[in-house]
Amino acid sequence: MTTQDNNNFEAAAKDQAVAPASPDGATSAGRKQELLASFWLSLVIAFLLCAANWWVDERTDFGKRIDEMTYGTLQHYLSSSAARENSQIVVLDISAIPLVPAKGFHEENITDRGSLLKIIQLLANVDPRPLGIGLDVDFSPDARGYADTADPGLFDSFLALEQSRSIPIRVGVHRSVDLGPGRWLRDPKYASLAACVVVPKPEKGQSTRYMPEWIDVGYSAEVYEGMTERCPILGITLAQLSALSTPRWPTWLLASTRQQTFQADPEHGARLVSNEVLVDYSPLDFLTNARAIRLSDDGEKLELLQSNGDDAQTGNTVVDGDISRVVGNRLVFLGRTKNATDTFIVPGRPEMPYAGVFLHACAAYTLLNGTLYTLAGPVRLLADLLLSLAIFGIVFWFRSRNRSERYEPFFERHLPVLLAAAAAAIIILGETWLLPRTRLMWDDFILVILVLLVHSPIEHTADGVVAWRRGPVRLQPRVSTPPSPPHSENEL
Amino acid sequence: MTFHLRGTILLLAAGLTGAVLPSTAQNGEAVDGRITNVTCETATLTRKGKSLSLSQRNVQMGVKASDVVACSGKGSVEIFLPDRTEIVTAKDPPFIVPSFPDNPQYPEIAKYMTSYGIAGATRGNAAQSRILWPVDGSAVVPENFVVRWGPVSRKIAVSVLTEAKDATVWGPTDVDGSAGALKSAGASSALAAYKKKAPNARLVLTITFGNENDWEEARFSFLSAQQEQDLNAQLDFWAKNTAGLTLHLGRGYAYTRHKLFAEAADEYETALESAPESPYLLKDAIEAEQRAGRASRVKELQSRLTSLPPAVNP
Repeated sequence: MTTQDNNNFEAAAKDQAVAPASPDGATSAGRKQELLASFWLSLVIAFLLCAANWWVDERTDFGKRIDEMTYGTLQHYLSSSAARENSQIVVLDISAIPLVPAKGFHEENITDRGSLLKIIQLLANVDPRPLGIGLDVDFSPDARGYADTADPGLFDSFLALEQSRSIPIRVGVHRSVDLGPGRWLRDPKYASLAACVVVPKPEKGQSTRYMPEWIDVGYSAEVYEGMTERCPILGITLAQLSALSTPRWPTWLLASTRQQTFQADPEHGARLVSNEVLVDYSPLDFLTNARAIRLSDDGEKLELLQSNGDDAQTGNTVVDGDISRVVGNRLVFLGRTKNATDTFIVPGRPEMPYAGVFLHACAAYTLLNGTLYTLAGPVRLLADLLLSLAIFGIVFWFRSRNRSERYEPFFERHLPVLLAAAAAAIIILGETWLLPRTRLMWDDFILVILVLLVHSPIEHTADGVVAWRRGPVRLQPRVSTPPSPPHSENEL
Repeated sequence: MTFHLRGTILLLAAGLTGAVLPSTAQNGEAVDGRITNVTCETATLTRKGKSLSLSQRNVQMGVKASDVVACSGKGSVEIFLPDRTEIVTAKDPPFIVPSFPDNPQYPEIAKYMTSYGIAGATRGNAAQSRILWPVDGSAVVPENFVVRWGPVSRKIAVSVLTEAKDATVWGPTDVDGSAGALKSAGASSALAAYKKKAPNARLVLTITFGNENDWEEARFSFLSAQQEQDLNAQLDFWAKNTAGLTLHLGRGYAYTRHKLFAEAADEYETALESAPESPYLLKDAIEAEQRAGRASRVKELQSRLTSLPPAVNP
């Protein structure tokens, strides 16, 4: 072979290395091996990143902060003006009702029972009547007796109103569940009025995402051994008076509730089980403009005060009161919203704490307007993994189909990034725009997106490290099998 | 010294006025019953050997275990008890108020409820500021430094900074907000160390409730060397010249003048043991407790004050 021939050969080999392969040319064994190695590397990195994502999400403060931020942001995408217009919930502030020394067995100030009763009686007689009335006042008696001597009379009046006006009325209890079955308002005849007003302690790093849907209290003493009584929750029990939204996703796919159990001895003894739902706090946008309600000077009429300041008793204007327009055919929550002793930080609104009555109202709203979901545990892990694998599956498919080495750098380096960016965009848009429909609170989707975006750079770094460890030979340019010389030596 | 003597006389008068009055008020803690009606011609309530005539004005007054209620003539006394309403008439023997346990019937359930969450409903009123102690303008003794706040269901961050330069003296420290109070040896020693460097410094207590946008602060100071000297002189005066009730009244007064309200409240509480029915002393104690941020104690004392008969409660 002459020098010229040799030169031609090298040039031809070089050309072929960058020119499209012939359609019928088989992929070389080396290239197959390389693709396969790349696939396995992608798979291992995808697994490792998913594990890292899980660890960051579950075990680190950083992950929890990201989750909390994401969850809070998603809360703002839940609202819709239609829901606001059609809200069946109304909160009325009772801060204008004076606090007076209790006449029970403890020295404390309580909401004046006389004013409270009169307001409920007047509300119940509004036409059209309210669907139900929830009183966010803690009436818990204790082992000695009622919070106030007036309470039995108050409860009798509420029971009478329920019968005469067919309006369910619920009052708050909390610590009195320790008095025994049916004794939450001491006398069992009042038990139907009682509704638990407990707000769960949030998990570390989170605000109050969940509210109980019900609480099962299992008693342990001899008489009540094994007896379990379900304490209804103020907001939920009122919401159940109306048409509840029905869960639309199978529970193995998306979870809408979670349970917490407190029991010292798993076999015997008292226990407390709570079933909790995620709460949609978007109605706070309009619920927090709660009007204050009070009695007129002669005590015979209701007055609504438009909140325009912090003090319900001064500086407010009496609303020209068509009260029926405000409360008619609605679930009415009465509670103290100013200078309240029960305030909570809720997701997406860290700037101020909200009174408990708003949380109960939001829980009711959630059940009426659409349950919120989270990805069920295994599904969440699987979704993280599948998203990673989907992208690199597509890349692998393209690379295995591709016969041209010219486009290999694009498929290998740029396509995964483009696909990850496209997936990230689709996830962001889907999770935010479609949230009012899906109601899926995917609080770690930002972390999943981060994983998708860092996968490709990490893989290339890993590739580089592997190549460097193998030495310079492995860094030679990819060259397909050299073409045969144009002529045999014999011909020459 | 003239001022001190005048103060002594005033305080003595106030204390003794209460000390000699009949024992009629409750102690402000949980009660075992309440009087709901009095129609007897003559009704009496006897407690620890002292008697009080009952009339309609005593309606809603609390009664405690071992109190004795008697009625003579026409009519009756109605007592609302945890398990019933007792009607005491002239025909009945004197009624001894029974004791009722205040413990939950199912303590495990009570414990689980506490672990699970807190009441999302109102019961009582909230303080204007969530920082109960130290309040704005108060003075503290580093060794006794305590922080009090209205309990909240989340973690809070507590720190002490200098007012002039915003330099951190102690903290920030994350604390369980539901505790309502923090007494930290670290804080006390940090304040003591800082006081040596800058005895006249004004400090700022900052409590961050839940997030960085939700915080409150209160400004306070140390007693200056001169003030401390003056206070010690006053305390010595009361210690040398008085004893018992007057000693505590005097010390309480001295502490109040130096804005050491927590210490003043402690002195008034001790004094109340000797003169539990003194309305003047009760008022002083209420004011000191209020300024020391002990809201629950304020309620108890207020209730005790309002339950005094009009002749005693001016």
